[in-house]
Amino acid sequence: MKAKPLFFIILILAFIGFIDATYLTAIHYMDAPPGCGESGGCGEVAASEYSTMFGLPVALYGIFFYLAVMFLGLLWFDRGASFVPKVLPIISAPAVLFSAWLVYLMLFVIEAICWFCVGSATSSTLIFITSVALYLKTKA
Amino acid sequence: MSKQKENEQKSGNPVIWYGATGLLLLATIVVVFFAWQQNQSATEATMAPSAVEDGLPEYNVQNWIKGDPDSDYRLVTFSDFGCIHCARFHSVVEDFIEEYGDVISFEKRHYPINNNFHSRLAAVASVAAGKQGKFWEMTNLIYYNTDRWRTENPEQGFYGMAEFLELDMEQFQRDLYDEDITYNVVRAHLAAREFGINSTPTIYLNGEQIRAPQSPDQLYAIIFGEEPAPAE
Repeated sequence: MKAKPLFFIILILAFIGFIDATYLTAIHYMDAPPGCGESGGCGEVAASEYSTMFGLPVALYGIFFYLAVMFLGLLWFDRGASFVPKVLPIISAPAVLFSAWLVYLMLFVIEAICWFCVGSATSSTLIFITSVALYLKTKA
Repeated sequence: MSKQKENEQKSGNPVIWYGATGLLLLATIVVVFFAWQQNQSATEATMAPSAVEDGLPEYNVQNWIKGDPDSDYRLVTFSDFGCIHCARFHSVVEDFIEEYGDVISFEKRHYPINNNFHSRLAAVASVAAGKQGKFWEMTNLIYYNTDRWRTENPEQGFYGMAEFLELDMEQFQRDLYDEDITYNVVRAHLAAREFGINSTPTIYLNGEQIRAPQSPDQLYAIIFGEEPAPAE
């Protein structure tokens, strides 16, 4: 089965994204006193007004997304659910758009970079690309 | 083969699901622990020694007090004009004084992080404006217009602000490059760092460090030890 490596790639990316988003969510709730240090880094991104949406940290939505991707991936692997390759691009496309919006805010509005946030944006984009490849493979 | 597959489809492989759940739980625990450690070190990095006994570090920069200078509640902050958390705290104090009146004395001390060129010049610009009686006006302009001076030619941004405040431009330009003011700002930063302050904003209430409040009500609670009475 040629699609298998793609499936593993998606699982690994989702796992990395999950770890990333979990870290960001944990940091959000632990709430160190805000400040800028001599060694640089002020946590501007995590402290900005854009770091929450509907009262929840945006990283938490990331956790749900990555969990959903992993769940669907395993469903396909374990039970051969054939709808999964069709659904994955559909749920990861909004995630990519949302990530792009957050990266735009980070670079041009907040003007500070948070590498963990970039990591999450990258993994969601790669998940989308891989899932499209997976869809094309299984369709053929 | 097909029967076996059908069987699998019905029951699935529990090892995969339990394994995945276990792995995710383990990963979560490890990540949360890592985040907690990071958070601890970030918290420690903002801790500064008490100034109750020995007093605050030496400070020779001319300064202006907001609120009531004789108040029993003396708030001193070490801040950097380029630090968004300092700008946020500054607006909290402004709102607090507007809401509750002059019940505190508020002093802003300059702590240009790493003695960086932009923050240092901003500090000097506020002092230069202060010499013409517009320290707090300039402070507000600098805090809320960082895009005007965190540029290649920050002095142009400060000139614009000085013009807006209708300052004597010749005097302002002279003071912006005044060696004594600059020297004292640099010394203030060094003295504060030697004292043990290493992040901004570092806030003292009567010599004890407090955590940056996020709202005027929070500041009220820190100062008076109780929540403000609800507005009527």
